[in-house]
Amino acid sequence: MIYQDYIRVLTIDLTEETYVISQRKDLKAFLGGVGIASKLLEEHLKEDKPVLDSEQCIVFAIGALSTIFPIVTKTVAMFWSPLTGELGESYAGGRMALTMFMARYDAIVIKGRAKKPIYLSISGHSVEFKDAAAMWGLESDEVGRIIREREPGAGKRSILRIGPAGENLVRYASVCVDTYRHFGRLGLGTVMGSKHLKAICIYGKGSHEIKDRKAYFKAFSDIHQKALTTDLMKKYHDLGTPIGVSGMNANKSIPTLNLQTTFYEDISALTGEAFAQRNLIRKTACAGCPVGCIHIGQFRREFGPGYEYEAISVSYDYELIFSLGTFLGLKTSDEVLEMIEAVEAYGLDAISAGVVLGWATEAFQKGLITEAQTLVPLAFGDQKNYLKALKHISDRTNDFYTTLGDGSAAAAKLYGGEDFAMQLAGNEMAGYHTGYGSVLGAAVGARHSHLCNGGYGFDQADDFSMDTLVDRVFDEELHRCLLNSMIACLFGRRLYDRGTIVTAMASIGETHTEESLKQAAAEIYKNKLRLKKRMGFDQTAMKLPKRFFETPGGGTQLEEDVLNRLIRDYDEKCQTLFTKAE
Amino acid sequence: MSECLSLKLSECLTPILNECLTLISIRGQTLITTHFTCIKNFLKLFTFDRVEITRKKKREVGSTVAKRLRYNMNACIGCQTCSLVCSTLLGQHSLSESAIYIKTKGGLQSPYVCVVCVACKENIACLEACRTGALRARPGGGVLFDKSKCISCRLCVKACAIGAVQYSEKLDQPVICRHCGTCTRFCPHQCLWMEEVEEIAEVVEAIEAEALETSKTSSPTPETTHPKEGEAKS
Repeated sequence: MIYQDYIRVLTIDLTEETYVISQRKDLKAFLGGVGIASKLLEEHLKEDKPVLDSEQCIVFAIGALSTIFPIVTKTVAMFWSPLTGELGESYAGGRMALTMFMARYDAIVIKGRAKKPIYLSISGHSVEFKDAAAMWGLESDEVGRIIREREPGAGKRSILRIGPAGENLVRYASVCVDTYRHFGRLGLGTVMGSKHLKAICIYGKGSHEIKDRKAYFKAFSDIHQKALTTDLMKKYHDLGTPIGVSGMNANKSIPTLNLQTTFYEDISALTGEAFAQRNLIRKTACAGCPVGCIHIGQFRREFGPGYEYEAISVSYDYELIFSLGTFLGLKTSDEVLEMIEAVEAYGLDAISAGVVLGWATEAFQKGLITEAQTLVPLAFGDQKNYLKALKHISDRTNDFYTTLGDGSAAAAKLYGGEDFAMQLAGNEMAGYHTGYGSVLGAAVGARHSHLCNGGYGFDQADDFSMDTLVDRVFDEELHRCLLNSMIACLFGRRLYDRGTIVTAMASIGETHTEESLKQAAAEIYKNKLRLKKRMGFDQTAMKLPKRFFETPGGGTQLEEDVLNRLIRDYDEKCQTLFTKAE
Repeated sequence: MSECLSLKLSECLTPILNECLTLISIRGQTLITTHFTCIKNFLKLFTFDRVEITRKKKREVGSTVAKRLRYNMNACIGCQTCSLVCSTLLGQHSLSESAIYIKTKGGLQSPYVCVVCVACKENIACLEACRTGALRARPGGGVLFDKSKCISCRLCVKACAIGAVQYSEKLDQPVICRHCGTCTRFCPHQCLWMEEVEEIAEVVEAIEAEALETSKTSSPTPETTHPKEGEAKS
């Protein structure tokens, strides 16, 4: 905990309805965030039991600099992923980190399974196990409203909840945090559903007395000023992440029509500018972030005859425009927003949901599956049927949708079409097919996400070189272990170089050097690799869908052999990490 | 843009700005939005630095012109930087020890609202409720708090009709905005600013006396030369 020589962990047992606090001095070496969460997961993981066994746990952790420095806003969740069967690691913003910090918990471990649906009300003084039987089956938005009305602390609380998809154990169910942010990837919502845990409300009304006000204020002011004068504001506040849509398309890098192509002719209505001009109604931020990248878009829906309209607003981002837009051949921003509304309501990961539908559409076209299975004919661009399909996935209507709810890898294994089921180790691809960097980065990334190491970024760099690619991806993966221990939002990654982190840490009484931070990051990465091994993952045995090598990425035709060599080289570097230390 | 030109621009715009703000106080909120946005856009045309606009409005040390905190929430992103910075002045990382409180009108799908002292100049409810003399009228509106005279009765908290007096359980004292302006310096989207308040001669004298007293009795803090009452001595 800040200003203390220990990490403060709240461990909740849902089966017994008990909770304990522990002060863990031994965890302090792992800084915070992903560092402490991976250690706690290591302690609680039962690899001899099924992934969704009641004894498995969820670990939430905030970082060493959480929310008292600008853009350091995220909370990490670690768990055994029901989607990939290996490391589950997901980040969410919103107010969660701030409220955990104010409630004075560095980490919250949740294990066991409630006897009936419940929600947790956590504050600095208590943990309450409250009945949520009547909320079971309700959509995420509605649950948020109910808890908002039942619990105290407007402005000082964070509300996490799952939708029906999580309850029905769809393997890529998400957790909505404070309406607009999510633990999206890898199925945290599924794990919560398996624990009969519908929601969590964290109320942070506590405080921490500042040790050295002068030092802290100086460090804070300097970083705040730096944040406001970088291009962050322009890039992420003005148009937000969708600013990347037109550029990615121009570079022939945006996965389109189930990655049959990386260029979308009809992009004009899906660009950041198009969304801003047609749909944008407001912008908001995670607590502690001056940038405000969250863009809320609104669309109008006619729900009945006689000019019956409703206005619906949801948050939109680059990844969603790709997965629920270009990947499925949708044409307009309104259509994409309506798809987002559906995944929000059901509590599905937007990326996985879009990508599995991409596979299903192509499998349907190729005759691998029939309308008797899909219940509605699936075709690229047919948004109305996609909306119905999303509902079927969430409800697990029939055998086909049940399998589709297990992910594209599981579905392709059963029905065929593995060559175009766009996933890496079971996790559906993100919105970048920029070249070797994007595929390598997601393949070797600890959680197979584009954010593990930002491999796609190296493809676009002017000094791109195949010779240095593995090293750069490796170094970035390591560095992000450090950023994710703070936990800085990755949009602010350039602001938080090691030197800045050393200064910020010093101002709150934590003495580190750039070298010691580098070593801590290496230890954290090793923990993650050990966890992956225990979960049965072998990097070199991974098989990638052929489509990655058929459709050029960023103008480059990738070769499978070359990529496999890069993966082997990367794996060797990971091995050296262990031998070097011994 | 050269520094010289910025300076000239700001000189010629200050009267316009002042006039707009006067109009606002007469005609209300909508006008603030329109005029303020209009001016901001105009300044943007000349690539006028937004930070500079804020600085221009900041109270100068030793100035005899009283100021008070004002806000316009349409650009608020809910980052709560203002609250986090405000609590720092009381030596805390906290939302509860902040005099400015940001929440939503009704869930995050609705707009943000700012709960902070509006600097009442007449019928100051918290002041009237205080029996111990811990609160006294502040030049420019609102109150100044003296912790040594406070008995933590919380009558001021109850008295404020807009709920702008927070109560810190930890410090066992009310937390009331003293309009020091620190939060305005950190608002990333210029939702907060200091507004000049016209005062009659006697009040100006009172300000001078107060400023003199403050400079004698308290040492400057790192972030402001006007420390908050009840602030932990560093």
